[in-house]
Amino acid sequence: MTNIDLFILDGLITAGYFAILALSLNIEYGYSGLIDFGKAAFFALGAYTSAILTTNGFPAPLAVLMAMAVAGLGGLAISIPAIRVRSDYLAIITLVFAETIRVILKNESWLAGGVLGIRGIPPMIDLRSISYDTHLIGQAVFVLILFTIFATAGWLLTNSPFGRILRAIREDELASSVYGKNNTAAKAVVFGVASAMAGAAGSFYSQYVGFVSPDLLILAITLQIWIMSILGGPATILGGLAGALLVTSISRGTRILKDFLNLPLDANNLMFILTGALLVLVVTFKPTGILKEGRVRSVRR
Amino acid sequence: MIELSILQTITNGLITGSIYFLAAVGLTLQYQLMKFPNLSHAEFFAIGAFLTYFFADVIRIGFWPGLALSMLLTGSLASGIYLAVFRTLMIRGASLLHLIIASAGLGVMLRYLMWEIAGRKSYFFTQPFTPFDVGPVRLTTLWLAMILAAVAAVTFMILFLNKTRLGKALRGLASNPVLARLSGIRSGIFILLVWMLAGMMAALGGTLRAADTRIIPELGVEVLIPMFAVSILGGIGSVSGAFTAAYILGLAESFGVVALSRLGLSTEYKALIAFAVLVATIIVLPTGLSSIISKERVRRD
Amino acid sequence: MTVNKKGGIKISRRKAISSAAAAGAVVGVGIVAGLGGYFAGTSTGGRVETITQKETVTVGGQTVTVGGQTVTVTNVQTQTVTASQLPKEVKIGVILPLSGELGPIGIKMLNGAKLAEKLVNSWGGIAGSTVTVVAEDSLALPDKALEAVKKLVEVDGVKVIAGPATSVEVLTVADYVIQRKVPIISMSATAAAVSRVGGQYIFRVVPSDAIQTRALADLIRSQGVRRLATFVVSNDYGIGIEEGVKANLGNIVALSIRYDPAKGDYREELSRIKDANVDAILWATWVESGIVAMKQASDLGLTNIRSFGAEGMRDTAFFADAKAAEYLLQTNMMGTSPSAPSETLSSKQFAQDYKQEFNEEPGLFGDTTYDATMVAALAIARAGVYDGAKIASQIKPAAYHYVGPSGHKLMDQFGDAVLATYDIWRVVKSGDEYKIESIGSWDTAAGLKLG
Repeated sequence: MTNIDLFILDGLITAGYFAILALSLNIEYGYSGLIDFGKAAFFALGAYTSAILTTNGFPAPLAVLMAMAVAGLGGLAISIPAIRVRSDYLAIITLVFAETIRVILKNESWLAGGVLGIRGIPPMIDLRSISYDTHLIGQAVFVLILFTIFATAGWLLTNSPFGRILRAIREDELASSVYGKNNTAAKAVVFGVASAMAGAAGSFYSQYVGFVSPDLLILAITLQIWIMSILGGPATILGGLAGALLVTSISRGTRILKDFLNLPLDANNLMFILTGALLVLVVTFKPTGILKEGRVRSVRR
Repeated sequence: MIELSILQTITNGLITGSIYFLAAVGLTLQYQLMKFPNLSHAEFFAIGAFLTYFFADVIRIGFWPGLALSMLLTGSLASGIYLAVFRTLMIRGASLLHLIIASAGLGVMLRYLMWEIAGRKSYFFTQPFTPFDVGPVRLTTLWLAMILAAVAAVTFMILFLNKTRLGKALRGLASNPVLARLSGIRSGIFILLVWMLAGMMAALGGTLRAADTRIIPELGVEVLIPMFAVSILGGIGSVSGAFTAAYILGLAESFGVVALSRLGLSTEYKALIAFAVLVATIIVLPTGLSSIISKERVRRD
Repeated sequence: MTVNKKGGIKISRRKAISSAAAAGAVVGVGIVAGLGGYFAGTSTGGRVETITQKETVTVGGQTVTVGGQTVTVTNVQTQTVTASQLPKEVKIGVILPLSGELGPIGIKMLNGAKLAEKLVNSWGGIAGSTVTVVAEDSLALPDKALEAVKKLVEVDGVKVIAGPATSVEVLTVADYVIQRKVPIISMSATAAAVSRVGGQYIFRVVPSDAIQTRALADLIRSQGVRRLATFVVSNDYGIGIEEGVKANLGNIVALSIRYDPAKGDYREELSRIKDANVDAILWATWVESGIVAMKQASDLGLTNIRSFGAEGMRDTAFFADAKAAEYLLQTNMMGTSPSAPSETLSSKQFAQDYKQEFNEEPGLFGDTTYDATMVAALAIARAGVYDGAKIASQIKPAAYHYVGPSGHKLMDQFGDAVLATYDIWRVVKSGDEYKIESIGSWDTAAGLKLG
């Protein structure tokens, strides 16, 4: 007796959380032109904060708020050195930031479980006592609601006057500052907001899978989020969702397909090769991604 | 208190620095010429090592001949990849981010192809290297070779860039592409040449590193951050800058390990030293050392 | 033992029964298989019979005095064992790192499971049902392990799993397997923290490192070491060993080095060890990076410092590089490993079977993976139905009766292998070949015994 539908549902829920992450990246990169290679760091900061609080008996809403606060502040802090430098340096600084946090979490076991991480995080929507199926459905509805909330917030942000400033900065920083817009402040706000969103995603994700560990911070996770953003369309709201669904399908799909097709390659290697190739192809032939940017048409890249 | 053999620590730093230089010299030239950080450069480190292994231990033509062949082959491969991937992208007007992402995707593809082809066991060079003592300092013929290779490489590169017409034209192209083309320099060939050189240096560094450790697809990723730290600290595009920066970083790491263990911190934090150098450089001296030490400053945006 | 042309194994019945530990498994599975086959065989036209067990229970004695005699009334209970309710194909899941840094080790561990599968099927399966090992790759990453477990449980319908291999992974999947009532038996997760979740659905056939570090400490002290350096890989395994040894040896530990396996070069760290003037180095590394470190240690001239190792170091794979092998020999590498002393009939039989099937020596944890799979199979046989909760309840009883190549798998209330017998081993060279030989043992009762 198989419950392949439950496996698929679990995949969809995971994709949902990564969609929120990809959305936060879209706000940073797609709309504002900031190259953030440390997305996983804010995701993990939120996840860890939330995990520490909920496993010590604090209520979930507080945990989420603190997660967003810690991640958001982390984003603001990183923006101080990072914002004024050119884009490729920004990418490198954020990448280094994530690696630093990972190494510290691994080695200082008094901080948050060290290498073993924290497990036993209580779910915020807990229907396990009814049945596993019901619990999954509850979690699926939960992530759907969350994504809708964040998507709406994102849409409002990027279509507001502030959003126009961001697009202006993305297109031509010099012009934007000449017109009197405070670029640095705007970028810092974006970083803070997007990081807070990533932190919230981390908090909710950790309650779904029930654990956090330093492996959340490896570069591969950040790259995955980037792939989702690029594939789906970086300057869109729903692009992250499309990208997340696509990437999760590939990753889980190869795991199932390998049982049916006698793949000449190891399934895991194949998945990475495919993802890498896909990335190169999309960037070469369809750089705006699957979905197109709404309203303000971007200059053809 | 554990005593410190200063000379050995300095020597270790020089050995490490030599490897970092060989890894970074190709990258720094590429970075300046192409204007984006090529994240796939690291893979040529490993590809070079595997190719040398193939010639040296599978076909059995010997270590040094194998190395020479591998350098030629890896260099050609690098040029080929430029033509196939990056030139296509640039013709299509790809943005900075797209180039970075494409290089990341390409790197992943190459690495997992290597895992697929050669990932089931570990490989070691059979070429023996003997240890010997120079006073209180312990060396091996391999470690000496690394230092000599770095010195030879920097000598060759500086002579080439400063004394030959080809080299001077290359520098002209790098610092002012428009003017260079106007004065009739055919940029295409030169770009191929730079990629070829980058590939060759990477193969040299990778092979020596692998002989010291092991031949594994992750060989390049292991030195990814130091590679960039050296390029940026040295000043992108400056060979002498990279040379200086490489040894500064190597010595910093070597003494850093001493400091860490004296302070009772985990020695895994050694990795953070390269990070710290990188971030500090970006914030304090973004144009790198070359803008201070050499009168010949290469222009950069 | 006959070998057919393709190198497969045909075990004659007498040979199988005569070797002690294989007998333990054979007898266990054989009895149940025999019973089940006897009862199940519709296709062979067998009969269905019921066994009655009589138990005598006195229920509120009725006393009748007849001419001075006291009579008590007894109650008779009967139990019926019916035909096997197992599906035709019984799946045992296995979660291991099959690619990446630990891939080569994991692939060899999987061979242990495959050997168990092959042997059980050659003995008639479980009550006539074929055993199939279903493997998933976790890359030793917690989120991948969770994905692998979910795939095995939801898509393949697996009800018992051998694995995952590392402690982080076990802790990560614990809540899910408890919720879904699927028991897991880890073959190599040794962190002390795993005991906290074990006993009902989480089991392991290796003892906790809390005990191994005691054995290591005793060994190190017995060799007269007064200054020790630790050199460990920075993950749950290595850090666990380092902390355990520090707790047991205190001030003797003069220097602790942790390295990141993603950074391939250890010359600087090893130079620190050279400066520290220690008598010995305690190694806890994975094979690949360990070989690199040993080569560099040899180059640096650390060959006059002794070596000790946790179980990760007990692997002939270290001999793949001549310099590393020679270093191990020169430094008289000695260590502990959680297995029965390697001279038991069971481990010899296993090594022999493994070599004939796969044409190479068993690798690290090959024997524990084999044992985990066997215990799973025995638990299924005891449960009689392919149901996770029932199988879980039979794992401790099955382990109680099982003596495998890594020892007697008696488990405590936390699901930990409690008979922590550690083999004390040493690297030697005989002729041209490097070998690992057993030189003693350590157990919780008698402590260290060498020679």
